[in-house]
This record gives sequence, C-alpha cells and structure tokens, in this order.
Amino acid sequence: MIRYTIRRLLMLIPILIAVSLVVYFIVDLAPGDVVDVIAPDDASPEDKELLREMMGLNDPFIIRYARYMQGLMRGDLGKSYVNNRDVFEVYFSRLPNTLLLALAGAFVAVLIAVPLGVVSAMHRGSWKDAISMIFGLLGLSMPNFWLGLLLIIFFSLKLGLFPSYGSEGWSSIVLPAITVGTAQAALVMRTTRSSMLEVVRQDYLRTARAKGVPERTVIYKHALRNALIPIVTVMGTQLGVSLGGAVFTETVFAWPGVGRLVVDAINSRDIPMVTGCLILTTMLASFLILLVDIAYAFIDPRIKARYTK
Amino acid sequence: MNSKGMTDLVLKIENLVVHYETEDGIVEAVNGIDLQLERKRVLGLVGETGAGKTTTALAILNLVPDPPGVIKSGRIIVNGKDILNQDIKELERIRGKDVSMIFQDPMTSLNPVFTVGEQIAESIMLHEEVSKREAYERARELLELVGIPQDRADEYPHQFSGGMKQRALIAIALACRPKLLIADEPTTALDVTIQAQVLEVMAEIKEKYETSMIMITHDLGIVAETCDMVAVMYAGKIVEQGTLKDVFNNTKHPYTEGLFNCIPKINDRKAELIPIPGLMPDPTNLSRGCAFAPRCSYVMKECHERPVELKRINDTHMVACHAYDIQDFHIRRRVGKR
Repeated sequence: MIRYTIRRLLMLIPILIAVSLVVYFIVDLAPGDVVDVIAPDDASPEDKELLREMMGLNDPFIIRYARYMQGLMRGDLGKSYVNNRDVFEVYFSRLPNTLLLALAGAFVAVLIAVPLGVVSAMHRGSWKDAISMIFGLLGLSMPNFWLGLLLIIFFSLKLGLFPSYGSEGWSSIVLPAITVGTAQAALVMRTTRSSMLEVVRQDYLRTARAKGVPERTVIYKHALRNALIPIVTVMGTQLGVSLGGAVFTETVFAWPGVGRLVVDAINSRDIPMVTGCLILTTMLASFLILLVDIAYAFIDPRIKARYTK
Repeated sequence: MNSKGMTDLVLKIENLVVHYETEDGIVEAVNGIDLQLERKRVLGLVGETGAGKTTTALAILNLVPDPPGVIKSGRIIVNGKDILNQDIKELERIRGKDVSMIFQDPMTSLNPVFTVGEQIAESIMLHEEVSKREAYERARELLELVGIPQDRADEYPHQFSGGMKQRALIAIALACRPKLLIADEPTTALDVTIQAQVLEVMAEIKEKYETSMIMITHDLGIVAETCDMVAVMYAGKIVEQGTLKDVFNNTKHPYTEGLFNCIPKINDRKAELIPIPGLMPDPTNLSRGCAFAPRCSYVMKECHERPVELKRINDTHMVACHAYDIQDFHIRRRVGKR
C-alpha cells in the first residue's frame, strides 16, 4: 500500500512538467501580451517595446520556458507580471475559499444524490424514480449561473435568508454551495442509480435477505457498499474539478476563489500566474485522485489485494 | 396421513401457486403443489432446470422476487407459522432462524466486501442477543465445524476456494440452528471431488443440529445418498412423490423413469444413456392436460386433454399419471434393476 502510494506520487513529477509546458505554451499562443494590460494608456509603442525587452518577453519561447522551469525546480513559481506579487502566496490566499466551496458543494451533492439514487434504483420505473430522473436531467442541463441567479432572487432578495454575495460568515456559503452542489448531485445521483441497479441483482443480497437481514440494512449496508466504487470515482472527479474553481458560481456570488483568479490572470496574459495556479491545481487534483484510489482499497478488499501485490 | 400426527411437521405446503408476471406473458412456475416434511427428515426435490424447484424454495422464505413473482395462492406453514401471512418484521425473524437456505452458486452468494466471519456473525447478531465479539467467536467455531480453520474468519470471500465458500454459506445458514434448512443445488457449482466433502459436512451437521432439510437437486445420486423422501417436479407440479424406496425401487412416473435412464450405470459402461426426448414445455403456455405428455413414450389421447391428479399407490407413494387408470399398467425399465 505504501509502495503503491510512493509510486503514484513519483508519477506526478512527469505529469506536472507536462502540464507546465502545455499551459505555458497555450497562454503564450494567445494574441496580445501583458504589456498591453499593465502599460499606462498614454504609453508610446516604443515605451511598450522597451518594457517588453526589460521583462524578457521578447526572448524566444524556449528561453522563457527554460527560465521559468529553472525557478520551478527551486520551488519558485515566480511573480505575477501584473502586480509583482508572489504566485504561490496569491494562490494560497484564495485556496481556502475554493476548498470551502468545493467541500460544501460536494456535501450538498452527496446529501441529496446518494439517497435519491438509491431510492430511484430500488423503485425503478415508479413515480419516485421519475422525479429523481427529472431532477437529474434538470441538474445536469441547468446552467450554473442561472441557478445561482434564481437562488439569489428567491432566497436573498425575496426571503432575505442568505446574503447574495461575498464570503463573510457561514450563511454566505449556503447559496454558492447549493449552486455548485446541484450539478454534481445530478451526476452522482445518476451514477448511484445505475451502480445500485447493477448490484441489486446480485446473489449475495438474496443470501442476506435469507439470513433475515432487514431490507434497509440489505440496501444501505450490503448493496450500497458494493455500489460505492463508481460513486466515489465520480465524486472524486467532481471534487477535483471544483478545486480548479467554479468560475461561474464565483462570479455570480462574488466569491473570491481560485477560478476567478485564473480567469483574470488569463485575461491579462499573466503567464506566471496562470501556469503557477494550474500546476498547483493539478497537484491538488492528483492528490485527490490518489486519495480516491486509496479509498477503493478500503471499500473493496479485492482491490486492496491488487495494490499490495 | 401420518401416524405421528400433525405436530411433528416442520413444513406443510398446501396448493402453492406461484407465477412470474412478465411483459412477455405469465410464467406459471409453480402450479399447485402440496408437500410436507417431518422433523429430522430430508426431502429431495428433484427435477430439471426450470421445473419450479427454486421458486418453491424461495416461496418457503417468502422471498420470491416481486416483481415479477406473485404467490397466487396456497398456504405454507413452517414450524407452526403461516409464512404467507406474516408481517415483514416477523418474516425477518423467521428467515435465518426457523428456515434458512443455502444457494446454488457459492461464487456469487457471499458479499465480496465483508469478511466471511462478519457474514456469519451478522446472522447470529440478528437473531440472538449477543455482543459483536461473542457472535464473531461463534462464527469462528461454526467455520471450524464446517471444516475451515478458525483463523480464516478474517479473510474475504475472494480468498476462499469454491468449496470453502459453499462451506461458509452452510455455516451462515446453520448459524442459528434453523428447524428447516433448504439446500438449493448446493453442490452443482463445485468440482466432483469437493461435492462429496460438502455433502458430508451437511449430513454431519444435520445430524448434530437435528435439522430437517429440503435438498433441491437434479442429481439422483445425491438424492439416494442423502434423502429419506423424494418429490419429483415437472413444469411446476409434483409428478411423483414417496419415500426414497418408493421412488427408486418402485418408480411409477414415466418422467422419473426418464431421469433414471439418463444416469450412467457403473456396472454396465457400454449401456447407452437414454435421454428424454424433447424439452420442458413453455411455462407461459402450459396445456390443460399432463405437461409431460408431449415427451412421454406411454402417451395416450386423454393425457393431452384431462388434467392429472396425484393418485395414491400406497401410504407414502403418490403419482400423477393417467396410465395408472388402466389395470396392470407398469413402466418398462430399460436398463437393469437397481
């Protein structure tokens, strides 16, 4: 198990190098550069050219990337082109907000989705199933920002229950969490349903019933535990996506998370900021997926046996 | 009907009818069977795949999958309790305690994510007031009883061989010393060498716990070895029933005869096996007459038209066949007598 974990962590190194190269390259391809953003309006083309020369932006791509990687190897993610702040610091000042929103969203998703998916599977074809499936369809197809706006109109403006923006106090996270959670819930619900449908036909559930195990225990202990692998996979992936920030939701609720940080950085062609943030996000997401893979071993002893081989 | 009176009956089934109502039609799986089983006796329920044996067994636990299964009529009394008229709480108390069942396929009948010990202990904790630790300790003893070392209780099903899994399932079924044990083809999925061991374990434990048993099988050899009574099922009906001696030495029904003719003879290896021609009838479309008529070599005109009833041959032996309306009718046994 420990050897497996170490092997997986070592595999992260080439992945991170590849990510840095791809991101650096793509942002570099974008038309325009940071000088257009930071130079004063009345700067002449000559001034701008001078600035580019000073910042080393005129060097060939390879040189600039090599310089960046030199820093990266020392653990230095560089400084923002725009405001000269340390990328690492800026990222970690935003990360708690993103983590909070991601976890709250996942919590909402699991709270709604797993029971709904189970009920849906157990009463396949009934009205309960139909309602769950409609919820699933809506949750998946409804644009996030639109749901966010609806929630603001109803719960903030009409009922005044929760603040409509910002990140002050616990009550301000409720609406963003529901917004993020709903789309995830839809996916998790559908996964739970199909996974449970696979499992309910299994012989070992009949064995459990024949022992006299109450139906609730049959479903939530014997069946759900076996249906958990795909559910955990989807939840892990979704959480990984949320770590990159929920751009729309953050924008609607003025939530200061990583998503908007990255989008702003892209808009101002702030290459060190974009690349740094994405490398760190990739790292976190990879840790998360590793955690999911380790969780498999605890859910299913057969997988654990494979890992330790 | 029986000299010891009704009180000694562990199981009594009256006119059980079970249908599966699917979109493609109604599958008439069990069509009015009567069965009874006395304490400490073993009944062999014999027949081809699809004859309704497993459905009958599941009905005894009231576990016929619903939908599509529907118990249309009948009464099932286990240990004095009317199974089909119990609420779910009471049923959960009966399952595993009064009746328990060993299923056909040991490979898929154990839950892969719990240890074998946990799965045995769960049964004990459901039915008895014991702590988790006590239940687990008893689970280990039960494993020992079925011939598996105690310390393997902490292992998962995938670490067990097929024969060991079936032993573990036997341990689960016997955990609370049920009055009635139903074994649904317990050895079909196992290697021949393992079959004998598993049967031996079952016989020992049955003796020790004084359990009555229904052995569902299509293997007449197993019946001969383990059973006191035999009921032969065909297309959801019992076509012949009696003591082991009645059915084996004084075979009456042409279908039973057909089953015997399909067994290789050890003392005449050159003897050809005589398969029963044709297939089981479509259970969504059973004829009014005898369901076996299309495959029967003694068939008469009325077999196709008139429903058959069980007729008494002697105190214990009954057969459902029109041929016995004719004086002096008897089956022609093809290969030497047993």
